[in-house]
Amino acid sequence: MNPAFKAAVLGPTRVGKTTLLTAILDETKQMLAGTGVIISLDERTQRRVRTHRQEMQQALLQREFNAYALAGTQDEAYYHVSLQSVADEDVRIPFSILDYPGKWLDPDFLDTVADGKRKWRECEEHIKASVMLLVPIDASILMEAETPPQRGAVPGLLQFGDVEEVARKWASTRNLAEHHHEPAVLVLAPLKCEKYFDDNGGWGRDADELRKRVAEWYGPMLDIVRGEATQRDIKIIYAPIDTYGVVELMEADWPRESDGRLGFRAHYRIRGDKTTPSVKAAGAVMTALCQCVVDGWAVAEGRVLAARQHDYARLVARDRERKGFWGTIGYYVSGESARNAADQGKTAMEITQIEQRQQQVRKSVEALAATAYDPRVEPWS
Amino acid sequence: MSDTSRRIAEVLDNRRRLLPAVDDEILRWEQTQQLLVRLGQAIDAVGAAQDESLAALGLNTVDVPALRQRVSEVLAALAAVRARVGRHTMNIGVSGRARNGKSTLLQSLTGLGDDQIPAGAGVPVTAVRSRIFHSAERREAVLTMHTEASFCAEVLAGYHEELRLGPPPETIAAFVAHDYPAHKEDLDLPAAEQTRLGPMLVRLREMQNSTETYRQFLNGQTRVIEFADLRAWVAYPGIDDPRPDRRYLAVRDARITTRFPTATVEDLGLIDLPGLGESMPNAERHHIAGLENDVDFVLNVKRPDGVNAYWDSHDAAGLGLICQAAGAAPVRDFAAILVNSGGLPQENVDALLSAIRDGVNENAREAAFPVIVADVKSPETVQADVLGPVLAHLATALPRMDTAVIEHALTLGTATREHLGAVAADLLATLRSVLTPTTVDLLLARAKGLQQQMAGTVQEWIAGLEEKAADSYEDKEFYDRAQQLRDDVRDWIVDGFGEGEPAWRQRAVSDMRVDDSPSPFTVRELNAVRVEIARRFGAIDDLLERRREEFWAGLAEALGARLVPPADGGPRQALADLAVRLREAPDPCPVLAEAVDHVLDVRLDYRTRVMPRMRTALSLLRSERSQPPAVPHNDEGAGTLFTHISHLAREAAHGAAKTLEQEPAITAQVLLAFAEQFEDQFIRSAKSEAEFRRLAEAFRDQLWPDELSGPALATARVQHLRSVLRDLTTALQPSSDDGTSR
Repeated sequence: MNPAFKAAVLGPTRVGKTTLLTAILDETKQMLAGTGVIISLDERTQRRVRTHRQEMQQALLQREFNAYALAGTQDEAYYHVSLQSVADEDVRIPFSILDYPGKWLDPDFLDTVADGKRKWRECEEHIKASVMLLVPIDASILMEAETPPQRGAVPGLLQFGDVEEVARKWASTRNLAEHHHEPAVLVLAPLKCEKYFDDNGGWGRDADELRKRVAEWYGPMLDIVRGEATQRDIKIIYAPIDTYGVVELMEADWPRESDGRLGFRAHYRIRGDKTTPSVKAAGAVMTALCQCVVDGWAVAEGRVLAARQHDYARLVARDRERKGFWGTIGYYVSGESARNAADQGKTAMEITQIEQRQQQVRKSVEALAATAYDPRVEPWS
Repeated sequence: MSDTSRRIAEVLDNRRRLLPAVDDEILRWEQTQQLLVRLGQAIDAVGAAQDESLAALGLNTVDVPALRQRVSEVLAALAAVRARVGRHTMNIGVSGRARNGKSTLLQSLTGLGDDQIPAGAGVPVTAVRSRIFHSAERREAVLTMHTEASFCAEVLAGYHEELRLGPPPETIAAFVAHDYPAHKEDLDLPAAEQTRLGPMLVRLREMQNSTETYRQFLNGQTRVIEFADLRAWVAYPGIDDPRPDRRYLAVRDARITTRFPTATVEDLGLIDLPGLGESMPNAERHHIAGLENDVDFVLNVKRPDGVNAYWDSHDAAGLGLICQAAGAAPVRDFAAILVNSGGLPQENVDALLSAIRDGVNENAREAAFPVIVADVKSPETVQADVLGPVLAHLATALPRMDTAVIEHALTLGTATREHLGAVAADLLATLRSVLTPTTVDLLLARAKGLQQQMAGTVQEWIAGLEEKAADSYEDKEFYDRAQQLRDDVRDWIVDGFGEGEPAWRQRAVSDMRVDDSPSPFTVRELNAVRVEIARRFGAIDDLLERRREEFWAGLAEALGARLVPPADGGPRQALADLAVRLREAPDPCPVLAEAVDHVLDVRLDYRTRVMPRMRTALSLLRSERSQPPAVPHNDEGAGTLFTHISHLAREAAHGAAKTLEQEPAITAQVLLAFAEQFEDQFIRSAKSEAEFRRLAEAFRDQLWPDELSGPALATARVQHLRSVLRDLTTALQPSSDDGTSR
């Protein structure tokens, strides 16, 4: 199996991780239109996305819905997506994005999951190997918390402690010598932002307030990440995303839960008579991911040149054994992927075509990486 | 008018001229006595201040009670002078033991008979001692009656005291019900005293048993009695009377005015003094009081009949009292012994005269007591041998006696004045060693202390407001109220904007059909809903008002109840009153007043503070932003429209509620800002210190109704003591007419 570039989504239950991934895929598809490159999903991912889209559609048709009514992820899932040549499905850049149940961040809950510890270890391994850590944030919780009790409930609802702990592990892994030259991107992605912006059909004027609150609330986590990354820089991107676009928070309640803590319920209305999502700024995530790949290519090609003098092939082979980022990059930069794609018995013409298609995919990835971020999106470091 | 009469009239006239000066002098000494009371209290207060440096002054060694005793003696001397110069008549007292002819003498002098002045040879008959005055025109007997209270206090009290029977009853009913010992042996007295006082107990029981005969007269009134009826009021009943009438007990004073047949002096009075040796309580005290207050001269009557021919110890005691009463006046000017010789053997008279010469006058060439021998039963003899010589004597002796008594009082007063003055001077000198702050020093210290104290309490108040302004402070009451309003508004929306969804939809369909468009209806509804939501959230005003009241109450408490006493209109009115007082003080404090005005101007009402911010949330309900759907003009379209408008309304209400939830923090910040501004202006501004001085002065009585404590207390008490001593020194200055009034 071809090695894939890894990313992980880190967020609590019902923050909207699956919705976010769906939105990313949708917007990436639009961005690739007419490039000869498509985004392809493996069968399982396709099924998940389809099911989720149906749930979203039903919610939109009801004109009013509770965001938390959508089924939360019950099991970990690896979204296997690829940027793939239209003409040759074997020519592709694969990505593996982990979407795991937010509740797993709670160790107590993990104890109740069958084989939970093993699964979580796998998740942790994936997170550590990820070049991108995507942290979806329920913007409505941050923005609707006005009273001290409500503000006091925010850390628990957004599971700051657990998120920070995983982020710390990811950052410390990124700080290891073997990963120094690998990309590392942390994306803070406030979701359910529709009410606070005026650039996607709404009248909101609270974009600055949202940025301020995210910076305040997640400042400690960013400090932890920066503190761990003593030997390198970590790129931080602030990307508030509309996953629905056509909805607007109508009411929010802070009911007292059975454990005595405040919960949060948000009720949304559909703007006008829209029934299809109008995603905004989700493509920034794919752009950032592609930038990781492109950055990796640049470094790796430098290494290939150097290998001519320093037995680079052996170095690459060792990287590949670990299936790390450089192994994956090396697989594509060294031409191995092209060789694999050019099955034995192919004609020279066919091999040339394969190489051209690979080049096309590479250009598409580079084009994606070069796509300007949505104006909402800001690099924070 | 005879020479004697003229001279006596001159004496009486001179006395009347002296009276105002004597009264002034008495007033001054009474004031001095009061000052000494204050001095004692002031010295005690300084001692109680527990200040070591003051304790070292030894102020407590000043014997104020002794000083007061000296002033009491001066006042007693002046009282004697007052009694003397205050008399409008020249009074001759008739003294002596019972059954020596006193009443007979009075009858001879006054021309009255046995009914008016009872006389008898056996048992004592005079129950009420009369004062008899000469008048050429008037003839009357006026009795002043006791009240029940005066009877108990002046008559019964003496018996209870002598017999040691405890406090006397306070009413006649209590007297009647009182359980007195049946026998003298039952008295709680030594045996000898029981024997001596036994008759007094008998008399008391007689009084108790016959209350029905005098009780009705105990009314304090005066009664004019016909001379013929007077005996029943002034004489004891007969010993054989089975139901003795003791109305004499109700008589407090008996004054008889009649024409003396033998009088050659107009203003003459005769005083029947209580007889010595009678079974009445405190006989001696009554006797001497009568001598001191009522008479200018005493005739001590002695009838040497039978075994009474000798000058015995009782006679000597009587004379002793007379000497005591004479005071500063020479005794020989004040009294004479009248030997009642009528019907007695000459040897009895001689024996008595011999005894008087040897025992009383001690063979002195100038007798201490003049002795007159006369038969008192004969008016002519009395006129010739008694009254005439006595009046002639008094014509020359009265001025002498008056001078002696007055000089004595003045001398005593001068000595006492000098002594007190020296004591006061010593004390003032001692106090001069104590460095106490001046009034200005105290004012400055008080102002500084007040400013510091208020800085502390105001800062505590601000600390409380800071706590409420902290992010973590939870104004649960406010949040609950905001939630309640939000729920109410939401229910109103969901329930079809107060008219029910079906009715609303029906109305929508009608309007859409009339307008041929949903737009006008939608615009009208959005406007109405926006206005109604804004109105409903206005109910938060009660809580905002309460926060403001709490703010003012906190400030009033910080400034203290003495500066900001409670007002009927609550703390706001109390502070407003303070601002007015600060402005209208004799030395106004405009900066402080302005600071108070500033905090009174804080506004937290919904319309001023909340509604403007709520506009953003409610602007969602403006037609230009609502993006209304195109709907058919039927019930389905109305339903879609209802969903659209109700969703917008719910979102707007949610936004409005959020705005409201921000209010406690903003309100707290606003109040904190006002409070800090107040603190800056009231406590720390450039003019604060100066205005606090004015405040301390203008509100001194209000702020420090009692003295403070510590050094201020000691200082205040030392100053008070100084003040008393200065007053005392002033009071001791000789009056301007001293010396001339003599």
